[in-house]
This record gives sequence, C-alpha cells and structure tokens, in this order.
Amino acid sequence: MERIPRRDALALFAAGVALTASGCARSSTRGGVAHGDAGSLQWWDHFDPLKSALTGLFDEFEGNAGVAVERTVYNPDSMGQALQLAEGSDQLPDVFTNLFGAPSASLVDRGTVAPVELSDEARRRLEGSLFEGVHTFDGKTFTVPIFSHRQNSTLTWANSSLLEKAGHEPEDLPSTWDGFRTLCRDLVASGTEHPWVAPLAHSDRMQEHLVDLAQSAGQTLAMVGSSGNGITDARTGEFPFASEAFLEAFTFLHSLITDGFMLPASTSLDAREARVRWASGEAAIFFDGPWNAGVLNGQFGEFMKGVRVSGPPSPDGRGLTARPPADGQFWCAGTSHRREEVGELFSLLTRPEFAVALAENMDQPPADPHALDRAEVPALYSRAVRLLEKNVRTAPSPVVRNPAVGSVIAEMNDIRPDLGDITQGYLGGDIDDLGKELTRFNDRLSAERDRAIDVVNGAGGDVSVDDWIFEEYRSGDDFDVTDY
Amino acid sequence: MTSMSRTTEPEAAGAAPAAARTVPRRRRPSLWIYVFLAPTVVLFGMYTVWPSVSSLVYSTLEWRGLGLERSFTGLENYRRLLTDPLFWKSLWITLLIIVVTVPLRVGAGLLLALVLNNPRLPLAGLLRTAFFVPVVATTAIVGIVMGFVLDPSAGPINEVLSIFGAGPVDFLGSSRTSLWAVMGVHVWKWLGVTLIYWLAALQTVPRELLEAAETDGAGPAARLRHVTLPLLRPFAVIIVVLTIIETMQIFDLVVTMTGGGPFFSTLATEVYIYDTAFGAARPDLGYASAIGVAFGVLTVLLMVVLTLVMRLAQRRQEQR
Repeated sequence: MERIPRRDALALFAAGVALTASGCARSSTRGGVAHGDAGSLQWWDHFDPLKSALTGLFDEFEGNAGVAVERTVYNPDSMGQALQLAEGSDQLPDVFTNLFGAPSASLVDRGTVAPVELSDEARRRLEGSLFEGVHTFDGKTFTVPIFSHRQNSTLTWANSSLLEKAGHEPEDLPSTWDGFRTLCRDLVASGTEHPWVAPLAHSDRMQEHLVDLAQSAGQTLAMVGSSGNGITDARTGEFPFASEAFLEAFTFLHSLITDGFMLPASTSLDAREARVRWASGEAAIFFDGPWNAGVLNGQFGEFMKGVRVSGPPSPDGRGLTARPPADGQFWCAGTSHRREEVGELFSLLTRPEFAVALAENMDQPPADPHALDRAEVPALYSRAVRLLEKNVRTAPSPVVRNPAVGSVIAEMNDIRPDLGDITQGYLGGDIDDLGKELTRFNDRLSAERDRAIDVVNGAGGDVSVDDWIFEEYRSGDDFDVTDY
Repeated sequence: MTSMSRTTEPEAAGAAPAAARTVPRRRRPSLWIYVFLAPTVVLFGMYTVWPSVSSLVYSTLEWRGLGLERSFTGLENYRRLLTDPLFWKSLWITLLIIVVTVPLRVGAGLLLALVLNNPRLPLAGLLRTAFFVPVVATTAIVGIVMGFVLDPSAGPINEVLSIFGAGPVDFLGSSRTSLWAVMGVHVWKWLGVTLIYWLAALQTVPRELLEAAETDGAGPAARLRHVTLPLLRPFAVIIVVLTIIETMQIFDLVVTMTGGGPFFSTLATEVYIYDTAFGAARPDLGYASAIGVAFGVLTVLLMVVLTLVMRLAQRRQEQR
C-alpha cells in the first residue's frame, strides 16, 4: 500500500479540523443578524400569502430609508424551531413573528423583544386599537395589529353545484345545526356519498372549530390566544370545556360522523389536505377561515367560481363567535441594532394603502375595516369578511386587564391530552366518556393555573383568578378597551 | 512484531547507534495511529459525546427553549417522567414496534437471503435490487406516498378490498389499525437492509462444508439445520442488535404517516421527545432532554440484556 507522506497527512488533518471548526462557527458575529447581507434588515415571518403586500412595503421602505429588507418565510411548523435556535445562538432577526410558543408578555419580560418608536401619523391611526398587555407594555409600543380580530376558522364553504344537485339553493346555506344535517342527508341522497370533510388529524384546527361552535351555542369566553390554557368562561373565570355548550358542540360534530356524513379520509387529513379533497369534489362542505378564498383563488380558480360561503352553523342560526383583541404580528428583536428602522417599518404597516394590499392578498382580514371597500378582491372573499365583521364579537382578554396573566400562562405546563387531542380522540372513537375526560382536563388545567399563579406571585407578581372573571360580559357583546 | 524483532536483533548485537535508530521507527506507527484517529475522536466528541453530555445537563434544567433563562431543578424532570402516562405509553409503543417488527425483519430477511443466495435462482440480482429499492427511497416520501396508498376513500388497497366486499379500512386514521399500518410499512421499507446483512453472513459459510455434507447424504433441510444455521449464529446477535437500533429510529416514518396520532396511538418515544422539545404549544427542552436520556439508558440496557441472553443461549448450545 502506498504511504501518505507525513507532511501531506498533517496538512490534510489540519484542513479537516479547520473545515469542521468553520462549519461550527456562527455564520455571523453580529447580534441580530441571522444571515445574508450585514447591511440589510432581517425579517422572518410565516405569512407566505403576504408576499406581494410586504414586497411593496419593503421596496418603498428601502427607497426612503436606504436599507434593504431581507425577508425569510418559514413554514409555521418550523418557525418555532428556527426562533429557538436563532435565539440560543444570538442570531435572532431584526423582526420576527412570535411563534416561540410563549405569550408576548414573557417575551417582553425576558427582553427577547424591544419597543419601537412609531411615527405621529401611525400613532393617530392606531388610537383605540392598541391594548396594554397585548401591543403596549408599560406604555411602550412593541407591536401593531395588522389583522382584524373579527375572524374565525369555521365559516361554512360549500360546492354550489353539489348543493343544486341536492335540491338546495346555494345562496341560502343552512345556518342551524339541524339545517346542516338536513343538507348533508339531501347531499347523500343526491349521490354525494360523504358531504363533509374535516381535518381530524389537525387537532389544533379541530379545537378551533370546537371553540367556534361552542361560542355559537352560547358559551361566553375570555381568551388569551387560542390554546386551551388561555380559554376560560368569562362569567366565572373557570375552564369551560365540560360546559353544556361545549358538550353540544362535540355532539354536533360527532353526529356528522356517526351519520356517515364525514369523508372517511378525514381522520388522517390536515387542513390543507382536507381543502384539496373538498376542492376536488370528494365532499361538498368544508369549514375554514376567510383565507380559504385566497387559497382557492391561487390554486383552484375555476372551482372557486362555484363556491358559496356562510357563517358557522349554530343552534339558534345566528352563528355568533368572539375573539380577543388581535395580537400584533411582527416584533422587533431585543438584540436588533435597527430599532429605529423597524419603527419606521411598523409605522408603514398602519397605512391604509398597506391594509388594501393586505385585503388583496385575501388572507386574514385587515385590521382596517374600510380597506375592503377599496380593494379589488373576488366577491367570495368580500362576503366572507363581511360575514365575520357582522358576526364576530370582541371577547374580553384577561391579559389586557392584568399583563401578569401572560406570565401565568407562560408558566403553565401543557396538559395532555389537551382540548385538540380530546376532540380528535372523541371524534375518532378513542374516548367513550367525554364528560369525564373534559372534567378531568378542566381540573388539571385549574390546578396547573393555581400553581403558576403561586409561582408568578412568588416572583413579585400580583395576579389572582379574579383577573379571569368578567361577570358583566354577555355572549354577543363587544368588550371594548373602555370596558376593562 | 515478529518482523520488527528480526530486524532489530542483529543491529542490537552489533552496534548501539543502530539500536538507537530503531526507536523512532518503533514510535512512528503509534504517532500515525493518533494522527489518523484524531479526526474521528474530534468528530465523535463533537457530535456524539458533547450532545450526550449536554442532554444530561439540560435534563436537570427547567428550560423552555427561550433565551438563556434556565433554572437548575435537579432530578425534577425525571420525577415528572415517572408519572407521565404519555412517556410510558410511548415506551410501550416503541417496545411493541420492536417486538413485532424485529423478528419479522430478521426472520423474513433470513428466509429471503437463503432463497436469493441460491446460485441456481434466475434473476437473483434483480430480485435483490427489488428488495433493496425501498431502503434507498427517502423515508419522508415513503410516508407521504403510503398515506395515499392506505387512504380509506380512494387508496388502491381499499379499492382492492372493496372488490372483495371488504372495507373501507381506515388504516392510518383509526387508533386500532394505525400502529400496525406503520409497522407494516416499516418492515417493507427496511427489510432490504436485513436481507443484505444475512446475504453477507451467508457468504462466510464455506462451500466445501456444504458440499461435504451433501456428499455425506445430507438433504437441503439437513444442510440448513446442521451446517448453515450454526455457522450463522454469531451473525444473528449483531443483526438483531442492529435491527433493534434501526427500529428505534422510526421517527421520520411515524411523523410523515401519522404524526404520532390518532390520539397518541403511534406516539413512539422519539416522536414524543420531538413533540415536547419543538412541536408542543410551549417547548420544554429540559423535559425533552430527560426523556431522551431515559430512552438512551433504556436502549443501552436493552442491548446489554439482549447480548447477555444470546451469549448465554449460545454457550448452553455449545455445551450440549
């Protein structure tokens, strides 16, 4: 065997060590910059459909400030990991969307995010829409809402040609649970074997449907975010998942399965896959949020022409739901050296032109309700957003009353099975005694919240279960900033 | 060593300087050993030892994955683990996957190898390739494609079942069938690897022994029982151990086929670790590390017990 000269071998080894070391080194030593051009402002988000709206905004910003914005779009599933890794290695981008899995208050406490200075004009536009504990902390602005809180994930989207075949008027979709079941029966009779498709494998989305349906059945909720830890009965402050309204909502969804209305493949579909099945004509009805119109417009343009939309079905036909004040979507990293520029960018986000561009992206509805009047969008999207404006109320948010509530929720450990798991388990036939499982979930959440309250108070906080109680709030009311 | 003695002895007897020259020559090979070992040691240290030690340290922390804020909690994560039903469920699922799929892979792999090792079998090379193709297919793609194949509404398997008046079977959407479906796909995908192990082992069986046995009148079954299998026994231990280790790394297939659902029915321990660290609404890296450490320790224990049991069985057989 031919011998390798010692000098060559040592050189090879040294090169290998150098290569390994360089591979392990940080891609940048400058805090706040993840990668790319050190002169650009780094922006990470998970809103893929906002490309055109944000690109226009960034171009204008670069023209004015002379700073380019380098945007990276993540899949929502991987955004949280990317943020964790970036923060651990001191490489957070200048701006990011909060998919850390932690409430905003804890990010503020930890200094992960920093306040920004908005222009006078932006501050005027935002009057009455910034909430302490959500967008401002100790009076300083950290983020601005770009989307409306008047939205839900349970609009009823229907294939009009299949409805006509079943003898139903597509413009007059059923608004009650009984009417919905009747429509399903008629669809089966007319040859649509399985009229309804649902993303049962997507437990978070199923949880959203369940919460919307429970609200439409009269459940009053106070909300911080959309996970079970942050959803409480507004009147009592207790966790509400074993309430009559929730049980009714469970029963309604379960009846659609036991009656054979659900597409069997639903059990292993997420929301995107379920949408594709629906758009391919395998099912006639699909629950989804207003962004469904945008996706259909981009991917199933021809099919979209025959789609109709109405609100979530409900026992009384009103289909009222509620959401807390909308979170801000974008946050400035505490490590950013470009806070001034980020402030300018956030100010641009409040402009009516941006709201119009947002509406034209047909994702979540823009915070400015008048934007839709000036936007060029298909009638289907307009109808969806108008329905939401009419039927979604403002729910009270305990974190607005007392920002320390955010710390409590941040301290709480996840309880598994959570509401999404229980929904999946019950609808999939794995849970027999639903009431017992929900009561157990409520009890475990309550105990965990009590523990978290003790920890927060022990660390100098001042919070109690009373902060979750809004006795005066009634289902169907708006709980405005002046009501706290 | 013996050649070295031969070269040094005459010089040692003849002149001292010549003996001194032999010392560096004796040391040179050992220096080269360290030089060539160094990259492995460095990389092994960085990518295996360091993460293992880090996991051990992280497992004693309460760490949400947010920033540098970590607090030492001692063995609290391990105490929590003992009372976590999902952890035990995930362990049970992982164990079930091992108990069901490892014998299947090892047994079916051996049978196939015996058939494919026959020099008179036509198209043996093509068949070996066919069984190995799933191994080189990307697991994530296999998982996604199998989702379509097993679809209860329009999947080809249910189409076939409907011809016989059976089904539809919700292979991946029902907790009664999902784990079995995942295990079936796992066996299909990785059978080729076990097959290759056995084929390699079969190459070590001396042909002269088989021919001698044949001359002595032993039929195919007797040759298999009294010649081939005894000679394969030492390989069986390592093949079983390798297959168990591969089976424990079923993460990608489970995630793409079922995501650990429905209702935790396919929640293998690796998937649970990932969910706890990254997939949960609130990441819990400290606890995920504790699960990882506990799983690692249990894996090592399992391997040790398995190796001891197999050695014991082997020794007893040799004593008979």
